[in-house]
Amino acid sequence: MGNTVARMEEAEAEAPDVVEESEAANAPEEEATAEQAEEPEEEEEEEEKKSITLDDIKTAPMDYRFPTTNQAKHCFTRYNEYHKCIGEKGEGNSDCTIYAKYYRSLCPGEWVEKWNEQREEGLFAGRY
Amino acid sequence: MTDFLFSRAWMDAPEAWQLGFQDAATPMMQGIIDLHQDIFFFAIIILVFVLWMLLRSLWHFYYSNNPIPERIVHGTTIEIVWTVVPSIILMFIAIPSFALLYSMDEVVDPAITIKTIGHQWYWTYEVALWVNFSLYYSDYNQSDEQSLAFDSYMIPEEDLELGQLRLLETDNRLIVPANTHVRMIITSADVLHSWAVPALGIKCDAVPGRLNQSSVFIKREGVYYGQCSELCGVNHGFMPIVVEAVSLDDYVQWVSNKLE
Repeated sequence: MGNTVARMEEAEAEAPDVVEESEAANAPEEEATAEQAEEPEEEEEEEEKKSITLDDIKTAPMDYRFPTTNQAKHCFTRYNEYHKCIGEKGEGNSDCTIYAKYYRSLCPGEWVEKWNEQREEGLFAGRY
Repeated sequence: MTDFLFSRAWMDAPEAWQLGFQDAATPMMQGIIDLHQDIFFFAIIILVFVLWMLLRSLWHFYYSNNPIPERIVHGTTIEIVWTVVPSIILMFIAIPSFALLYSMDEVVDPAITIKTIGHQWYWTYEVALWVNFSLYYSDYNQSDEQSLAFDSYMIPEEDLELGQLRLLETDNRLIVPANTHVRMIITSADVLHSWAVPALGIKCDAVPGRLNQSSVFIKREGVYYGQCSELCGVNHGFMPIVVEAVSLDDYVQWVSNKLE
């Protein structure tokens, strides 16, 4: 099983269609060492990475206030919630980072930039 | 060695003279294929029956054989039969159809959100991935200005390398972790487009001003091809989509490479 996994990972790393050229060079070495790091329970000092599992990855959750296909309102609401939180608790408050994460997950960059510009000009249409 | 003897080559891109669907890579697409097979079974039965009736009528009752046609107007029993039997057939078709339709509405919290923005005539992908990057990459910058975003243009025919698919390859692929619930947010920056990948069973219009949400769960690693599916101008046929599903570790590594 281990051999099969290693061969598949090497085949992926050698595929010519990787996005970054550097990834092809880095991937075989790092995957080999990552596998070696996983098998013995102790952590190697040179290898600082542990394996990322699915539980470590988060995004804006499904919000039942917005059950429909069109999530534009959801994005707008999260953006406003973030700025409401900033307005109430001050800039850089760690309670507000969760809202920041949500709106950055959902909203396209162009929309956020446009709203930020409107906000600077005092033309933003939202409540906060 | 035996891996190669017994391994399968998945069809995740169109083939010349293809008759059926591409191989499914998501439970949604597998559901669509199964529903299609269910309905096709009844369609064949109906086709054979109707053709038989038609040919029998033509054979036994053509003009020189039967110059005076019948003038039957009523037939209560047969009218009941040919109303009830189609209703039963429709019920057999509706049951798996609604099962699939309602299974689409089942909600699972996604692990990552990928935004797809259609332009004339390319796609932009933005990824917001919140991982405990201190385990992996300590300088992850969380400001507005730095998000993982890239454009995906078709590779023109003159730049294709041997083995690449014409009109389907792109310079940057959308890399996605396999066996992960992915939320796709699809929108457009100018005109209508449509983000479609047949092997994943997903086709969703990209409408300016809307963020259309679609959910994907790719069951196997591989490279999946699709094309823009809403007329959007001169190069509507030349803005394809390539999705590459990789293992979670490979994916996190790709993201951290991109961020650097």
